[in-house]
Amino acid sequence: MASRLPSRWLALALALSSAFAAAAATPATAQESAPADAPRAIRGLIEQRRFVEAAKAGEALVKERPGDGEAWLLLAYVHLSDDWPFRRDARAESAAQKALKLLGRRPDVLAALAVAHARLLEYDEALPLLAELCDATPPQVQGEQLAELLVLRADLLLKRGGADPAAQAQLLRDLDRAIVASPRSSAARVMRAEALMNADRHADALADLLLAIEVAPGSRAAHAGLRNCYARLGQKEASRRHHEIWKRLNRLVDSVATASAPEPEERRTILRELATLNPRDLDHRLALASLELELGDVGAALAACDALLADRPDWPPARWVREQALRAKSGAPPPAADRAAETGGGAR
Amino acid sequence: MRRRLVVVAGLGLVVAVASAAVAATRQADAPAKPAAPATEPAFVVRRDCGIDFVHRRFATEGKKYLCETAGAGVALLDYDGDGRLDVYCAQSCPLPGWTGAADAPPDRLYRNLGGLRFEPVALARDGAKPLGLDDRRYGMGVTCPDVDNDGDPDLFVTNVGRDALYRNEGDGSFTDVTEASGIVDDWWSTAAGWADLDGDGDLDLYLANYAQIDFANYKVCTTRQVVSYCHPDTLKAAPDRLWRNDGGFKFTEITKEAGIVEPDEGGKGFAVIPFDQDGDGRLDLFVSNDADENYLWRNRGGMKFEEEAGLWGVDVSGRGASQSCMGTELADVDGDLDFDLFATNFAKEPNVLYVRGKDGYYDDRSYPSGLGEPSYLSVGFGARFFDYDRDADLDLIVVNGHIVDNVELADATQSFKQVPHFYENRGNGTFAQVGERLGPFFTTPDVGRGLATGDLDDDGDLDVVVLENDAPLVVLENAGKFPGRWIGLALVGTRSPRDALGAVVTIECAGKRQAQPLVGNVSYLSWVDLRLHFGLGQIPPDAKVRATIRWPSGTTQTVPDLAPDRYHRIEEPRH
Repeated sequence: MASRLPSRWLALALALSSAFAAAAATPATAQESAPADAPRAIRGLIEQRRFVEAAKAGEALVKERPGDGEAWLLLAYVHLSDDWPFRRDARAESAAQKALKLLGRRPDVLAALAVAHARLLEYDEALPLLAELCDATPPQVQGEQLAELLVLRADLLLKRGGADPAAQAQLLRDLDRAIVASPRSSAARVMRAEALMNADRHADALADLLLAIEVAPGSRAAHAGLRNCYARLGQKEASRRHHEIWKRLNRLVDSVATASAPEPEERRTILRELATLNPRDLDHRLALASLELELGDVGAALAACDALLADRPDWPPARWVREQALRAKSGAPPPAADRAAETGGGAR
Repeated sequence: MRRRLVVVAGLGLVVAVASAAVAATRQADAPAKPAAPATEPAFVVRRDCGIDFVHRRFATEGKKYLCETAGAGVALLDYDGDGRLDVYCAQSCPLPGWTGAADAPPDRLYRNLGGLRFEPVALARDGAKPLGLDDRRYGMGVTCPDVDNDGDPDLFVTNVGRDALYRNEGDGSFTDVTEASGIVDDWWSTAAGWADLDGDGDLDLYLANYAQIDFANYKVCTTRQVVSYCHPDTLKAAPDRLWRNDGGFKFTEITKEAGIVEPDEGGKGFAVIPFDQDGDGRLDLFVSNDADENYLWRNRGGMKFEEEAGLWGVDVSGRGASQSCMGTELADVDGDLDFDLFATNFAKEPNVLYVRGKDGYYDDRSYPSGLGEPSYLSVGFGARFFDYDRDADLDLIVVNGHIVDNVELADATQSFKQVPHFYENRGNGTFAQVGERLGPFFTTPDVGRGLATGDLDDDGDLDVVVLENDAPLVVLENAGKFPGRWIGLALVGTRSPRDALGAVVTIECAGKRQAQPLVGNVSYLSWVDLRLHFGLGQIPPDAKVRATIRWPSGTTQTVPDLAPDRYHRIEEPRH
């Protein structure tokens, strides 16, 4: 099973952290000479997935401002990014500990520390923090943030006590709470479906998975769950359909190195097939439009954008790609391909 | 180097019991000594058994070719027909860039003298034919099928580079017949799945190849600016291949004609398990791939195959992510008389248990079974289900060890050497990790790779042999004294291949039924004792065992009233 934590956690944590930072900004001391907008720049680097640069900037920031808890917290967030395969979980933990000393038991700090502990498999440290955040009356976080942390705790309970009925009961309770807190949380639905399937409650699991796929049509985990759930329910054709979608989604992300990853032409084929198989998945249709443009097929890019905008009028990313395609059509050079994703050293 | 406590107390008793049981094996159906009441179960490392093999992986500084951390396999075979299991160990060799002494030690064969004593078999022997086994390539896997159905095990060694097929001449020597056989493969090969895929009574070969490796232009990878072993994705996969056995040690490659066309960029195979997944009487093939989706090649008859792992839930984890499947096993984990699949995985992926449902679909039950959490931080390799304590359910041994010898630089949760695990079946298909109480082997970190089980001393319980990277071979004697009884079945095919690979045996004793498949190349790159061993638990003194054998030929045979506590030789009906 995958070890990834809820994929949306980082964005939520960043939003939470930004709110706290704005409300409780610490005045810079004399020794702190980094530009005042350095934290904002680091956040921008994280959002652009330029993790190595973000980590370097974060380290420089805490070196210049060792007394700035917000800087330490930001550094922790860099290393907690799900999307960075070469992140350093131990550094995230030490940075979060430093933030804890400087900022106190703020929810965003506790959340960062809990995730870091979880990543390091330090369940005994992570679980009390999650309890502090989630089980207080009222909980220290609400809505989607509460849901994400409850999903994280459920994941830990599954790993630690997968064979223990009491642990399974508690993780189901957590997931129920998560869904109450955020009824459209795809992560919570997929996770609860997994727990329900483990309990042979496939019909209940199916309901969760169908909602998850409605919220996140391009979710690889949700399609995998639907494949398994339909198969177990004897609905072979439905199972096969989700298998075909999952298989293509998996091929797009399964390799961490270019030697085994699909070439652009293969990616285009996969994305075109996905657009047919799963037209509600606008994100991958947008990726197809971008790739068509990158590969020089301006007409296909425009057609893909037009179709996207018909389904979701005024969607900014689709409009932006369409503008780039129109520029290319008029003879302007195509935009440089976005190669922000890092591959690191290729080591395991 | 490992420094393990070697327990010698009680050795005389062990040897005496073993000797008695060996004699029982030689005299077919003679009773062996019933198991004594148990007190303290333990596995004992036997450094004094005469096996002096030390694996060397020849790690190159500055390059770190991925193959040199993959380790090698070990095989248990009775090469000389004396009724005792001998041991064959695959060895590595220097690779380009190696700066040490350029000696290339060969693979080694050790002859079982009985009483858990072994001696090395020399390559050149005064007054006798040379042994004929002199493989000095970069060894990976070892398999011992009876390719020509003449009653003795032949030998097929997979290498990084040319693989080698050796014919057992029946006189204690072997002949290299690789070129003449037509099985010529220069890829980095790993697992060899031998099975009668076309139902003609001889063993065909599915060869799993791992990756294309170009030593002259090898991409060096780094972790925190230090040279490290690459992720498998940095190498292109090498294609798996299929050969049809035409008899007389002649094979014809039929990979493409058979439909063995791997999807996408292909998989990096580490294990091949032949078994009849759909009960249609034809043997299918499960292939474990590293960092790629697994394959389930469904045998459609006429040597035609279709890949259907995804349609049966065994391609990836339950959450839809590819895993790093390495050591692989097929066993009835939950006692429902069908076969579940298990594979060891990389760190932060639990070992995966696919439990087969009644409709043939598999569920990922890694965590609910209790096998997930204890394995989450380990990198698993060799693995084997067997009933170590004869209580009539299958337990599991797994050896671990990271592939990156400087992994501590990158990940505080990891270490190169890792402790082996032993999982005791609670009797319901859930497990508890109990290694710590079974002996110091399970508390000593090391870099485990190949693993094979077999009754080396013919005392009615299964021992374990473990091949670790850069370490002496570990012979782990099952020295536990358990009250449960046992039975062993040695199958001899007549219309099926002689060693009956692919057969399924279901036994019934005192109201309890158990099933086991006969697969040789399980675990990781290794070959196990082909005698099927069943623990029976504590049964009435006069209890008998009823065995039903489903032979690969399709014949079903029932043998009633078998006496426990001995090995039985069962021959397939000729008509």
